[in-house]
Amino acid sequence: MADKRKRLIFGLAAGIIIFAAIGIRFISFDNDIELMLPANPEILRSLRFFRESNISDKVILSLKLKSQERTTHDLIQAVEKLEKSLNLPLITEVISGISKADLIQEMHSFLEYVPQLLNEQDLSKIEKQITHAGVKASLSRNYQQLLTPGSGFIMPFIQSDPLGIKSGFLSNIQKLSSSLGYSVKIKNGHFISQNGRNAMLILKTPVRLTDGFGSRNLIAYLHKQLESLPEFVSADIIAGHIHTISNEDVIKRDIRLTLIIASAAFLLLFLFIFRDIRAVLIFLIPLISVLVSINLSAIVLGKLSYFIIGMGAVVAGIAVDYGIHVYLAVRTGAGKPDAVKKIIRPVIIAALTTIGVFAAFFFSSVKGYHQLALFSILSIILCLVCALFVLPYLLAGKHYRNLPVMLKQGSSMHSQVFDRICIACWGVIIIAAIVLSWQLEFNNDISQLDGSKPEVIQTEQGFHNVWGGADKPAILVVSGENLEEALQCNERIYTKAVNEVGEDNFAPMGLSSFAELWLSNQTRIANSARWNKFWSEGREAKLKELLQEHGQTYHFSDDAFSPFFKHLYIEKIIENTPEGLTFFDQLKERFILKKADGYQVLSFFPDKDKYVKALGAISSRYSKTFLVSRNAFPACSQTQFHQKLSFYQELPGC
Amino acid sequence: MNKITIILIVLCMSLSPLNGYAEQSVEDVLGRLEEKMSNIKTLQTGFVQEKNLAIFDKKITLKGKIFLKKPRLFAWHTEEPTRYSMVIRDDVILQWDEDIDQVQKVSMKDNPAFQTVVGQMRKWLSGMYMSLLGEYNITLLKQNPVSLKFMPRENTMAYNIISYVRIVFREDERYICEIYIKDKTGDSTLLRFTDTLLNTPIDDAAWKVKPRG
Repeated sequence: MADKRKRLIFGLAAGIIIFAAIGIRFISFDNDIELMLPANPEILRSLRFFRESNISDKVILSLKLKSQERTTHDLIQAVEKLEKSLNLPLITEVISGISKADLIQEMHSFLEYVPQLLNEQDLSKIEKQITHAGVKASLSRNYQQLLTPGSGFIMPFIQSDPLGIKSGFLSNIQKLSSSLGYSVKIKNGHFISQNGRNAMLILKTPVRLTDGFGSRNLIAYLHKQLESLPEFVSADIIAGHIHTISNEDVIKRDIRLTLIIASAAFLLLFLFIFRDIRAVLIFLIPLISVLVSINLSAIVLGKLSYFIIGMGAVVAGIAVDYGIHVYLAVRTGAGKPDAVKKIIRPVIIAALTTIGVFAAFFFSSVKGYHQLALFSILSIILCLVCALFVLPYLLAGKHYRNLPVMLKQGSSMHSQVFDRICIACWGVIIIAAIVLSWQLEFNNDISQLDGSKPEVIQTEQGFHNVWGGADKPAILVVSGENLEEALQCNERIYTKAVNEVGEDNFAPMGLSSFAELWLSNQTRIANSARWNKFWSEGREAKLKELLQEHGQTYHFSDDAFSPFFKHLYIEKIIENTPEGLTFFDQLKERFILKKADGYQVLSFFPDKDKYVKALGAISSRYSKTFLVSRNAFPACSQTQFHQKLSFYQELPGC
Repeated sequence: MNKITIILIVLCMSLSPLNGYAEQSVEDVLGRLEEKMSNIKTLQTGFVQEKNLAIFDKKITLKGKIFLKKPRLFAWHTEEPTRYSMVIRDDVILQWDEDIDQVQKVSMKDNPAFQTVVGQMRKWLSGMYMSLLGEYNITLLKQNPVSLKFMPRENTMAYNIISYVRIVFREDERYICEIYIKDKTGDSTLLRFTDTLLNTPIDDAAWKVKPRG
């Protein structure tokens, strides 16, 4: 009968273990950092912003000429060949640069909209230019520029803008183009580094950063395509997906390493102390419990965090105690399973205490802690059940040798004096720990949760050395139910920021706002009416007269500036944004995000505390705005972590 | 195989090395010129420039001097028909003209128009044309003295602006003696260099934007 029960237990345990081992292959693991952070709206909003925006899911290929004998021309040829080889479904679009072929025409077309973008102050400045001195200075400047070689490039701009009214917008385009801090020049329509030795490709992919499996496929695909590069070109992949893969690999490796070390240590300890091969069962029970718990947790939660699974070794370390107690009870009870009855109550109480501590994590706002709690509690319960009801039968019936001296009751070491010394030492250590805990500083840099391999970080540093962009800007996000609403709010905040902080004070890169390039429909309608009125009040005639008079000095022909007067008055105001201008579309994609519930307009500025505070104060007056600052992020999460810590310190047994 | 076929094959075979030679010789010439010009540390030269632009009611002839000191300094001074100076130090431009009589300081970073103007000047005055192979189809018009023709490739910024550029080098190939730029609009620029001095010390006055007296 006992043998039959034993076989049944063995069979059942073996079945569960096999199912659990197979099941683990089908579990979806997650390395989303959000799980490990407090549910603070600001933190979550920032993280979600990066995840849902198109900023972090792009992949960059940085190609480098290895041979000094090769030229930028050779590099561009290699880039063009590679570009053609990158296709669907993993790559949806490849941006290798900006085609300059139509750039001048595009800029010229865009400048026709500029009168809609000029406000009252701008008109006052123009007013001051429509004088003898002002017109003469403008004509002189135009004349000298036209007399340089290659003046054909600036000719259309001068003819359509003799006073240089619109030139500021060309600077704005340039400023917004470099708002992410990258140092890029365009050669033959390609992104080329300043030294001409590197080229850059920006790839759009539908693979999300948190998709480990997809990331692996994507990076493998890219590596395969890069094999076709000529030998004189090397390539680096810069992508969040690499971090995803690297983190997964590191966590898996760590779990494996922890298991091997813990296994070796446990086995040696048990075999050395207990001198019994069956002591291995003590070690196997928590291991199997953890394996089964991973499956059960995955059934309940759907996805499991790698960070939590990494805690498996800790849980196993806690739960192994129950097996030890049972083993010792059975062994000292002459190998009878009934001997366990003596220790059932204290072991269950010990397990419940531990479960209570983990259960407290269910009250945390950190979602990862919920996973940790469920996983740990399941592991402990399974381990407890196995230790109390399975292990005794597996140990029963054996004639054990005597226990080593140090494990026997009433050994000479176990005197009252020794007990008192132990308690005194423990007391001293606890008091010292409490005192020291007040001075404890927490490292809350969430980037430390990124366990990417050193070579990934080195590659990124190398990339920033070539292309710049190491200092990521902070972002002001203005939301609206529609683009018009978002643009209006963005304009108001930009005006306030310029007035209160000063546009030039956002050193070193300045405040880059879409409001410098394009305005809401409402504002453009008002500007257009003002512009038309301005010129119709005799200023058109006056300017014509002055240009005619002073133009003779510089031999300008009578119709030299006719393009300006031909399009002087605004007849049509487009409702949204200009279409068919590639450079504008590229800037718009960077500054405007279309969301399911509306639009977000982004502004970039240096991620420095003083600017974050200043713009934070302004944006706090507008409900649909928020700031995303990588530097301010740890401070925000620190407060949250301290609050959580206080909460757990007050819990019993923690 | 008839005689005509054999003749055609022989003709094709004899022509293909010629094509290869012509292609190779442009790069060889560019490489040779670059090597000679790479030794230039300073340059001072007079120039006469004829501008035929539709925006002006007559041909403008400009006379002046150009100074170059690698790697940071460049100056463009015109004496006729008006006095004008432009001195570029790194990416800062100082300019002055006698009509306004004011020194104006402009950062190239903040002024795309100036960037374009200066970029074009540097491109054609440098004599370093190997890097232009991707942007222009370059043909060798004449070997002695070397004369090159640059036609912008499609998908380049110059394609819609410049029809072609013709450059004639000096006999000793150490610098350019003539640049001719024909725009798609029909405008043209002819720049001739005179009294060119290479690697001779340049007077500090060349870098002063406003002339004394």
